[in-house]
Amino acid sequence: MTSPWTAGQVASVAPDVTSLAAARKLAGSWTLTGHHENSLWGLCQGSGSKPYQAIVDLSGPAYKCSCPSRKFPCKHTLGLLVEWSEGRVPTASEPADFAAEWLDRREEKAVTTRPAATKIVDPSTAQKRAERVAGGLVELDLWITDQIRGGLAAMDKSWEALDAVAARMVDAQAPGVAGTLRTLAGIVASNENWPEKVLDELARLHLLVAAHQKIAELPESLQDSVRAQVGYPVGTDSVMERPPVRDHWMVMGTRVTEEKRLFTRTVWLLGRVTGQWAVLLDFSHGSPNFSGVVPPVVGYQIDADLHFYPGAAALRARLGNLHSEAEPFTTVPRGSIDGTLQSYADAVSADPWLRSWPMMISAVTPSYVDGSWFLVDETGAALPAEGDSLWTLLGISGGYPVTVCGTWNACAVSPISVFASGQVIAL
Amino acid sequence: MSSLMSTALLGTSRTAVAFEDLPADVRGAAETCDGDSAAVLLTAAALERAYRAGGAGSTTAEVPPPARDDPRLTLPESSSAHLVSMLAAKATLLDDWFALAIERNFRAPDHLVAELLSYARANELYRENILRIVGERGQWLAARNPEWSMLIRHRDAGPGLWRHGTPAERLQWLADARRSDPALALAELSQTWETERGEHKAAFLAALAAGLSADDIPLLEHALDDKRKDVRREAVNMLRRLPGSQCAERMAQRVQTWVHVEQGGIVVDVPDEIDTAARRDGIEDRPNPHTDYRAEYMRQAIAAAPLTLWNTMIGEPAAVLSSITDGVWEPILHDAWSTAAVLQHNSEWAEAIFTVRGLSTDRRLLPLIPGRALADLLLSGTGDANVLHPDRAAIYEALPRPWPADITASVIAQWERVAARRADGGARANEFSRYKYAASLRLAQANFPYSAVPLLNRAAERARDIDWQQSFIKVATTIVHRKTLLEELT
Repeated sequence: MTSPWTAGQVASVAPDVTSLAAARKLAGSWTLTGHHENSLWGLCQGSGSKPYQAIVDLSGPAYKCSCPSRKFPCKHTLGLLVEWSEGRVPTASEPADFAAEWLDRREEKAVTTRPAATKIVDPSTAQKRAERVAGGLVELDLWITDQIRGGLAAMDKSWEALDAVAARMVDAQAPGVAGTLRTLAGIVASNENWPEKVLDELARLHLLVAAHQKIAELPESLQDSVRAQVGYPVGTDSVMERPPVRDHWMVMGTRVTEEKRLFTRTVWLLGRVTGQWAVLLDFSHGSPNFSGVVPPVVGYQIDADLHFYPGAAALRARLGNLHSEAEPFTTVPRGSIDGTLQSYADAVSADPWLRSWPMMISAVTPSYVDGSWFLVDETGAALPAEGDSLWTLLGISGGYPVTVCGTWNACAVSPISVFASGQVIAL
Repeated sequence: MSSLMSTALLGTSRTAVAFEDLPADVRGAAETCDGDSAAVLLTAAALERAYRAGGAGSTTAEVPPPARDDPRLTLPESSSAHLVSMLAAKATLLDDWFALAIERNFRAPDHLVAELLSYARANELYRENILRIVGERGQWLAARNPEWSMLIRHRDAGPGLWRHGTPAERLQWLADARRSDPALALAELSQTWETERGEHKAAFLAALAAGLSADDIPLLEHALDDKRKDVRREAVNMLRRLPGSQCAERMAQRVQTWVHVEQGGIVVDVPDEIDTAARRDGIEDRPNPHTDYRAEYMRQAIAAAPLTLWNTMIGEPAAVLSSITDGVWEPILHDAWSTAAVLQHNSEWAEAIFTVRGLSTDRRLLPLIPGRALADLLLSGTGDANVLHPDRAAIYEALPRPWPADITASVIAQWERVAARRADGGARANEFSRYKYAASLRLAQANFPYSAVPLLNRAAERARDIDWQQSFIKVATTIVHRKTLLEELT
């Protein structure tokens, strides 16, 4: 039994504000609404003769509606959440017929996907995979050194050319490398100082090939980092078997991104006691219907076990046992510019392929000078900043120091959230 | 460009790899590498990348001066969220909401200021209201972003910008100064008037609309002799709103030579040609060759003459209106008096014209009519014409909000009759679909008083047509939602 969401929670899942306004207008069009455990359902009379069937699975959360809207969640499922949050949905003993089918299917899927991940990897399959990857990487290195020999100015940087190499890497079962190559095509097209970026990325891949060739000689955690960069799969269960890190994990930010219909939900957590950062990643194909536990909203902390993925600079984690309900926090630990630079240097020296690392700096004033953004601390030291929400950040600060949480990539800070007057505001 | 970079661009087959400009540590490590020169270059680049990333340091930067304090209360969280969604949906309720929020002394929370400013930049409709609600913090933030310079209202009140700014900045200064210190703005404009470029003059005159007073008459009179037509026309436009001007006086004399009162009736005698003086005062010469331009001269002259003229010539507005003897002139005179009443904000005349013309009153006059009079006219109709008939739409829109209880009840009763006909079916049932009434339902949602909710709920219970039943519930929910939104602001 879930307690109704607040208006803020409903707003946080809306794709845009217009949808929410449209959802509110549906009041009065609802029939046969009901709520049972984690599910909500209702019929919404639209302009057609047949009412739309809206269903929400609150775990996840996931949405289903018979309307043709391309927005997700659509106004009907949002409207259903509004009805529920305003106490107009009665509790039922079991889901209505039209809702039961989809809900059952989701439940089945959740049950069947678990055992699939537990399948024991056959050592000979793993061996075969390692050989294919090694073969592919040798080819990749030939291609890279060829480009350097012939000169980047003369290199065929078209999307097709890079995609062909990327496709070869997919065949060689090195999806991580393929992803890097595809992003490279975008960088060339959109970046003025592309030669630097291209050289950076090729050098990075060359280093990866070299590391993979002598992987057995590397420390174990670095081996894991190399495998992760190449794109070897990591079984969920093997992660969950790793020793947990228990802490009061504060949710500092959350973001949903989409690329080629693959939706990624990123949640940044900071351990209150350990000071350790963690990132929860969830993926969903086709629509942002994430399954599993709903992470707490930004500004809440949860006493929980986290299981980190293996790697020299461990960041990605899975949520394990929860020891408490989520509760809001009103203070955050202190962080400084020097501390940020130091922990980034530590992380890069542990894992040279690392791009960015989470950070939090207390008492910095955002500043916009001649078209460039900076975060300036009390001593006048500053880090450059970039991102879409810097005007919002500047508006929040008003020229006064605030605590900024974000990621640092050695060039600029990308803010994720800001902590001001006792609350976290997601950017 | 580093030497590694230039070698990589040209290709190691053409040039040798050089490490001279690498940091000493990286150079030392790179020089121990041997083998293929391309591979060596890549290794050195990877090393340099990691070295620079790990050793990245901070820089220094100036911080902006802090924003001034805004002592007002921050909007409740739910109200802020509603404001954003109402703006996105361009909700009809926004006018009421802003009026109340500003009256109750609320300011927007800091995290919404940037979003609200972008909205205000792109949409003119609620711009001033938004700027008031974002207050000091909004002004501070707008001053940081060159794209938001049009949103800055606390300008330096001194005339520096007027004297040295670009044409757009000067116009903005003039408009701002007219709101805060009309006399200063007038003095500055008068001083530079002779040397202003012709293409800007008309816009400068138009900016005088805010804070227009008798003090502006000399400059406007002077502009009547300008060599540009758009400047002369704008001067006339402004002068027509000032019934005390010499121009209005001359127009009154002109009207008196064109109109006589004989045996209590108005007799019109307009010349075929108008003289230069009339043209100077803004009467357009033969504006349309296909119409009776004498009527047009009359219309323009009366519209620009002070209405008090008629009180001395005939008497009360009602008496003047009833003294038209020639029916041909009636629409022309009514139209001219309506324009004059609007320009001169004369509600006595507006009411007199409304009494005579009823539903066909010029809609520009309606804001000058008392709400009760409008409501009574609406209630005097019968049957279908009673509810939001297109002829009456303008009057419904001019009704003060919220609508009076009797109007509300009659509108709901009418909907109920329509709903009943729809439920009865028959060949014409489609005409009674709720979709035909979408516009009136929308208007009602924005204007019904809260007391409409029980009436609507009762109507929903009685309705036999499911669509109409839904509409009744929907209107009722919207009204309740509106009340909740406004109550959040207390």
